[in-house]
Amino acid sequence: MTETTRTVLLVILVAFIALAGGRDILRRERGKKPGLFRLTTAVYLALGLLLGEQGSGLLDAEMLDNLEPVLELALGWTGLLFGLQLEIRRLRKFPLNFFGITLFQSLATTLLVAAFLYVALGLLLRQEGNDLWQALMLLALVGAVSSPAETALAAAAGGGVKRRLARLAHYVTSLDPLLPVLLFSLMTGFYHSDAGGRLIPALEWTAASALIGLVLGLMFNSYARHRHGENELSMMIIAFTIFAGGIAAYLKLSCLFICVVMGAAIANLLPTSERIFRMLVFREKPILIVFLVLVGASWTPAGGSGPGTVVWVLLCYLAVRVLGKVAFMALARIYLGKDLEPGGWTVGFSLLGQGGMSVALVVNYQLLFGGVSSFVVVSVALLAVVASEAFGAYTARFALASEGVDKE
Amino acid sequence: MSRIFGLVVLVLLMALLVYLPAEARTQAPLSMLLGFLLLTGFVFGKIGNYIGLPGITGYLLAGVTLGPSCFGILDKASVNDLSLINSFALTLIALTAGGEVSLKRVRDRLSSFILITTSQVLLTFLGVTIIMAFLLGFFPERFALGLSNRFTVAIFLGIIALANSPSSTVAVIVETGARGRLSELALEITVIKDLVVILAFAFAMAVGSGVLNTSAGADSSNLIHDLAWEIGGSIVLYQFAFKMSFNYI
Repeated sequence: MTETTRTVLLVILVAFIALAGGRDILRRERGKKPGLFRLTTAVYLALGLLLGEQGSGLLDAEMLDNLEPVLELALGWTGLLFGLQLEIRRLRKFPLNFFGITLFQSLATTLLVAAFLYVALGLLLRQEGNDLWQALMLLALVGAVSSPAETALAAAAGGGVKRRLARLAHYVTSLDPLLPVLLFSLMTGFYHSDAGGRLIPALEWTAASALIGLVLGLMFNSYARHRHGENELSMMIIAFTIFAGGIAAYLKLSCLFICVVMGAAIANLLPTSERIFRMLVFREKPILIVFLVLVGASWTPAGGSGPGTVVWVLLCYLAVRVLGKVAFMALARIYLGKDLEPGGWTVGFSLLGQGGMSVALVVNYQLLFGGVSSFVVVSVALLAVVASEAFGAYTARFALASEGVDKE
Repeated sequence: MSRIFGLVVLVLLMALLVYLPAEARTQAPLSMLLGFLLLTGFVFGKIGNYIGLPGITGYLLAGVTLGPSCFGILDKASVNDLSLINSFALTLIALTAGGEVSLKRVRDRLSSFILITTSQVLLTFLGVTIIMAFLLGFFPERFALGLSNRFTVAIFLGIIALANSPSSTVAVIVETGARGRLSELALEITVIKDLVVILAFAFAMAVGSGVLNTSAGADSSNLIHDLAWEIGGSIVLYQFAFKMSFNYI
């Protein structure tokens, strides 16, 4: 069997898994009350592990190299989907201080987790220099991201919900990745071979990424203004996403950031952006599953440092992340005291869930850096996503549930 | 007009990226080339539609214009890198073409099917073989061949001339949304003819290798073996994998 035939057959296999898995998830979602406990990420990561070099070896390193465009497509898809939510007209419907709170808790959590990791990674891994900084920045940024799926699950689980707090939590979790993605792009610029670890070139590379995203968004706008069928539009979205991913890889920039800017440009310029958004959402699950399977296949869970180190860093990391999210949201809550229901000091617990965007940051890091500490860092980040997904909806329910108030 | 503007911006952007200083970039990744080709192909396809041609003509024109033989935005190495995508596309096209072939329909229209296929195969094969055997005789210094060798080469050319492109047929049928007896028959004949071409080519190689004194005879048995393996493998794959998966999905 030739290499090409093998690749084609493996892609068909992964696509089948994605379709079947997507179908399975949808089937579950059609049920009356979705459960709070979720292990979707863990299942597909495990499946990827089984197919990868750590398992059966079907998806070996060479094969994963061949499939890099698929990974870039999934990465770009995630970024584009997030960017399309940044429609200013829609965001204006929410109070401006919601936006301030989102940025504040996101930045504060990033700084807290980074400070803790600086000590922990330095002691445990005895790492220093660029590798350490890149690793701790990744974990800090992934720690700052939360996912709206858990708040939605908590709200849909039945019983009473503190509506205003739930609205705030949903807003914050939806926009939470904004700052981490921007900071990740800045970090990419900072460690760009051409920037030499200086701030001004880092800013210039970030500006260049934003400009590329904007140009691609404008181009998409000019292409999509005409009437197109579903197939044509799908092809166009795929083409633009792959092209953006390719440019990012070519210039060693963040694909995620470029696609977020492209999505934001489309959302604010294209009158039919809602249709694009719906198409992206419709195909999101299979794409996310392929993404997770490929990530799982390239993952070495224990790495060179052994499982003990990973477990210790993971436990401490989760504890600091919870502390950051809960404490800084409680602080922000003082600012909004009159506008929210009483007793919502635990609202930060609704921000603990993590999902596709966190995994996307990890993948983008792996594609761009993947240094010495990447084994431990990637393992900690992925296991944290699995843990957050499993228990995020419970903590969100704990934060948002109310007894007899504002039944929804 | 806005599509043309989009195309101009796209080409300018690509040119800018290609001519960036080497320290600021890496080797052009497959995804960038693929995205660029998809987008330019899309616009060229629309231009083709605008002047009354099928989109596939535009796609081909985009490839020729951007490829190594014209502007060279995609060099030979880049085109080779895209061979994986080529295989994917061909797999999907073959699957689509195969899916459109109904053996029941072929049986129902067997007489017209046999008549059209046979007459097409015979007329094309005999016409090209005779004309090429005649024409090859005009270039004795370039093709120093005896009469038997000349006919053998002409037979090969005749068989090659039988080959159709299922991909083009599928593309035109999908684009025009053609439904009906003629389009079904055209696609079925194209697919079956491809099978005839492979078998005829294997047979000609086995016979021709003796006449031309080459080792191609061994290759012909490989060709038959590969053909049997691929057809058999497809049937097994369909029975055990696709049927199961379609039931599930």
